[in-house]
Amino acid sequence: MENLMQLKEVCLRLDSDFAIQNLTLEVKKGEIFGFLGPSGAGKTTTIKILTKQLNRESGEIMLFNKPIEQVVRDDYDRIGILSDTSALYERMSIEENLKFFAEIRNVGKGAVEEILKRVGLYEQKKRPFKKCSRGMKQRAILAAAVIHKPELLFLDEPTSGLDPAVTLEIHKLLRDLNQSGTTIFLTTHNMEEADKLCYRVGIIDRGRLIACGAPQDLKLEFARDEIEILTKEKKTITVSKNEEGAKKIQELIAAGDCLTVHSQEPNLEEIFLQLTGREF
Amino acid sequence: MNISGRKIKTLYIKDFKDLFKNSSVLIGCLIPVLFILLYKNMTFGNMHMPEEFLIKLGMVFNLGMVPLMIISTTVAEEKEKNTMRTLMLSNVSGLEFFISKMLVPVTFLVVSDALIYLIVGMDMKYFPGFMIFNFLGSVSMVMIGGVIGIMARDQMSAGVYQVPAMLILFLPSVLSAVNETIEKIAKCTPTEAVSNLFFSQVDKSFASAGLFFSIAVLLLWSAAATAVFALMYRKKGVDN
Ligand SMILES: Nc1ncnc2c1ncn2[C@@H]1O[C@H](COP(=O)(O)OP(=O)(O)OP(=O)(O)O)[C@@H](O)[C@H]1O
Ligand SMILES: [Mg+2]
Repeated sequence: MENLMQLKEVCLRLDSDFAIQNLTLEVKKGEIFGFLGPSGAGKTTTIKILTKQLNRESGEIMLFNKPIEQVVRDDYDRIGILSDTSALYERMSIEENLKFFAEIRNVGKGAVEEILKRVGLYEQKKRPFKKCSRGMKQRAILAAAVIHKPELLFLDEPTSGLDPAVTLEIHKLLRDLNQSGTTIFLTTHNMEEADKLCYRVGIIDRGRLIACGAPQDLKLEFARDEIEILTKEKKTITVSKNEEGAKKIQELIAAGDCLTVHSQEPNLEEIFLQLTGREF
Repeated sequence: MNISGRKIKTLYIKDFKDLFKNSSVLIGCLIPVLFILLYKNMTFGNMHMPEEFLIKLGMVFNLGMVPLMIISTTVAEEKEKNTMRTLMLSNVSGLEFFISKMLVPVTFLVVSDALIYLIVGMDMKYFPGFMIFNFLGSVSMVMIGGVIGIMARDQMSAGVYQVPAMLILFLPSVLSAVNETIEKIAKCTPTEAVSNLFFSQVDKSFASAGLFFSIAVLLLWSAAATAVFALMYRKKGVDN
């Protein structure tokens, strides 16, 4: 698959500390890439570098098949950005806000109605932004960020602080956008979100990428060498993934003594713990 | 640098409409008109305020207050509420943003100056000159508004910078009759220069300085304010 974005050994110091250190990764066209890490890891900084709000110190970045220095203003109409501080105009209604951004992005007024329906705000479109709930606000802000159907969408913690129902709705919308061709680069604290939504994830800690790959592959890579069996007597037996273990399992199944078998794949949180020795 | 007319127009319509929903700024901007309306209808004994005095007060007040207030307050609000940043991330340039912010008070002044003139009821043959001189005066004032907009982080600090700037720019002109020092200071302000240009056409006794001097003052203020704005914009950009 073609790369839409490629970083090679990118470094940036802020206040003499490395905020980003030797960051190498690529984002493929059409995927949802999750950038995971604890607070202060450098997620927002990475998005800022990629969207030219900050300049890297060293390393190479390719965006749309050209070095980032050659990315011009008009290329930014191919990009959508939802930052952790994105906001709309409080005294304007949701619809007025979206019409305004449609005009700024030079897309037809029809786009407003379409996106309003897509984010489920069509009924409440006349409501002033100030009077919207958090979830409505976040959906409206997201709608404004994608009204021009960008090829590439950056999202900085799109669901932080939202309740599970709104989070689900946003996930649905993001999948929907992805289906219609938008490549998504999102940051999150939420391991479960990354696991469910992303084709591939990168885990970043203290400015360094410590793991990168499909969630499933990462889980296999960091899987422990053991299988857990729950017996009829509700006893847990742990065996190794070898001939001896296989024999034991066979015996238990033959005896009708086996309730469940678990391969004990770690979740992303446990992978993080394994890699850093710290809780996420 | 490429500037998009479409984006400026879109921003301008948004900014202008928003002004009418922003009651605190709107009321502030209407104060000069309301003041003149009040003064015009007040009598002292059975004397009315002289037209010349009213027109001067109105234009100086309007010019000294409206651009600074609209620009610095709304720019600061956009910074504080992060909408400015959101615009920058939507491919709007800082210059497009500021041009729109500056066009709003220019438009507002055209309407409110006309209102003031009509309320005072001066001879209409001076009306075109009145509008033109005020328009020329607004150039330096919107640039100063832009400078304050760049400097202010939030609405609070915008207010802190705004008040002294307004006092320096238009109070001397209003109080120039009090003593000579104030009159001398007043002569060097853009607001007094505009008033002076106007009165040198109408009533020479009301003019405080020569025509040439006033033109020089106005040009100097416009050039200096534009230069400071350009410098600050280069150095600080739109975000600080
Ligand atoms: N303007 C700045 N000046 C100096 N240091 C900064 C600045 N912005 C961020 N940093 C530092 O850079 C590091 C990375 O910050 P960043 O905001 O990218 O983290 P993050 O992963 O987005 O965290 P969070 O999940 O809390 O948003 C942190 O150590 C932070 O203190
Ligand atoms: Mg962040």
